[in-house]
Amino acid sequence: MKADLLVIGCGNEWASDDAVGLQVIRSLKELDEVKLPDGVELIEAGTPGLNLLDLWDRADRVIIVDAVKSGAAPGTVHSFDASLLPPRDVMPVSSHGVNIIDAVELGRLLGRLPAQLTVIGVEILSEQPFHVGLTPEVEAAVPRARERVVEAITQHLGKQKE
Amino acid sequence: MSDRRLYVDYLARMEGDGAMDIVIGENGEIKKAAWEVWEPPRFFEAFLIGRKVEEAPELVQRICGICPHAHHIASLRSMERAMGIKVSEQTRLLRELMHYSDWIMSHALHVYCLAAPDFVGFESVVAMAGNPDLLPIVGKALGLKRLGNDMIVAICGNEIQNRTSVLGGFTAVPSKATLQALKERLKAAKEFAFETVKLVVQLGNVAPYNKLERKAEYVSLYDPKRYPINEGRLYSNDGLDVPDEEYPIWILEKHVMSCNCKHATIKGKGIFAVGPLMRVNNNFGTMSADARKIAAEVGFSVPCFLPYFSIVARALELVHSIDASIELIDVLGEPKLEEIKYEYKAGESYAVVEAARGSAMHGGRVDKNGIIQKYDLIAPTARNIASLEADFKAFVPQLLDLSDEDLTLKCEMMVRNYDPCQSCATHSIKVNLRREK
Repeated sequence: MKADLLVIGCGNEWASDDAVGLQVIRSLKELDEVKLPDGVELIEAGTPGLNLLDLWDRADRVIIVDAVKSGAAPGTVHSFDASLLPPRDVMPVSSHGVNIIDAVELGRLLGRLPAQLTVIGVEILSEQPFHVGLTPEVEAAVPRARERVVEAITQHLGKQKE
Repeated sequence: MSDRRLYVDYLARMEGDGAMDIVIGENGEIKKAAWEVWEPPRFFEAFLIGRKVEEAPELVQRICGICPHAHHIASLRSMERAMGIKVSEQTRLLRELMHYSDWIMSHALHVYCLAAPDFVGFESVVAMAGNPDLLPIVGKALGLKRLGNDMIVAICGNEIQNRTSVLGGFTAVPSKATLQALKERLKAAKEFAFETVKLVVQLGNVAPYNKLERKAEYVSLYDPKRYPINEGRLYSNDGLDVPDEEYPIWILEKHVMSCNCKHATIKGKGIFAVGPLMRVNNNFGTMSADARKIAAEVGFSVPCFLPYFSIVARALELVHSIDASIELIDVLGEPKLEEIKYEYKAGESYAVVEAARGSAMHGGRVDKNGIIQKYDLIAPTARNIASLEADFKAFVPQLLDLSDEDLTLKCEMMVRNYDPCQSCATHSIKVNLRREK
């Protein structure tokens, strides 16, 4: 059965701030259930690579929460439509799989992109391997990122924020 | 005067981190041909000591997201052997089906996403999909990979790491209806698997790929009656033929400077290689009838010592894996939930299974309370490092007319021929080529 909207958190639990997408999903789960409309599914996807395409098949509206490195101050929360992602030649395919940009590009080519796809990105500071835990700057951004996700959910489902 | 040096520090489209460093002297002689694995050691063997024996198969599947079931099953079989536990026929068959699911997922990924882009001149599978002629193939390839994943979910209850397979058996089994639905999808996937074989033969059967031959000792499991995925004797095309639990006696390891992987040799002999090409060479006769038929149709025969044809072996194994899975589903019928019973017993043993990328060994010693006293695991990638360096030394002198860029790519392909997975090995890739001019 299709969900109305999927919120997919990506990241590696054991690479410090890279886990911020997962932390935002956990923070959303702690919200009082009534604040999230029915039909919204929260997924901690880890590092899904091309499996993102399979996840997208499950909903027409998708929000992805992931770590971002753009040079902005750590903790900055970005929000953009997937159609505005930079072209893939800016970011090569990673050794372990495929990043979100590749997945979006491949999804577009294969006609497997959700009708609405928003990316909420949190600027990170550290990707220290085998380290669990966010840096304070990024930890502090989790509630702000959560708010942006709630706003995006409201927007996608065509309701005004209460 | 300077060396010609090919150096790639983080090679894409493989699992894990490592570097390739090749230095060519002014007369075309190879001064250095090394594959350096950067990926840090994982220390699984150390932290399993003192843990309950049931935990080993559960924990070792965390080594890797591509071949978790190979590590899991090798661990199960070795620990069961150490304690004298016999599992049911249904458990053996379900484990085979679980592992073939992994092969389908892994081979589809490697053939199309990791290896094919090199042969057709694209940087990645995403770039390949940008070509309108190749786009439908990429779509089907992802569908085939998905089928492997869905089979894993049906059997293991989880996308990658299993939740159902434990020491002694399974805690849950798939229903007949679930298996039948998978069977229909497998039957439908067969045509694309045939297409895949034809396609990769076209890619591989051109110069220089079909000229770069290196006769070597090819090691895999072997069973005269059944294609060996989980069980068989440890075997080579050059006389090795011993019970698989004797792996630690016959395969010797040494540490090498500049590499986080141990290198391996056969006792009293030299280096060797493992993987699909080696498996197909040693076991062609027990591949499915359709796999052998399509091989004949495209002109593939064994022995084949062309490393760049490993992509062909992988595609043939895709056909075989689909056929074998269908047969396993038929034989399994309606799986029953069986009671799991065993007692702890002191013992030591080892077992080899064929991971998608080659033979993997697990094993160790357990005390009478089921506590692990010693644990060894050897992943296929670690076995192939010396063989890869031999490929560099044999093939680079034949390719000196190529530009640095092209020669570097050909060397990267030599690495990917082994579908290395440094996460397992510990992990690897950079390529570095230097020529003296």
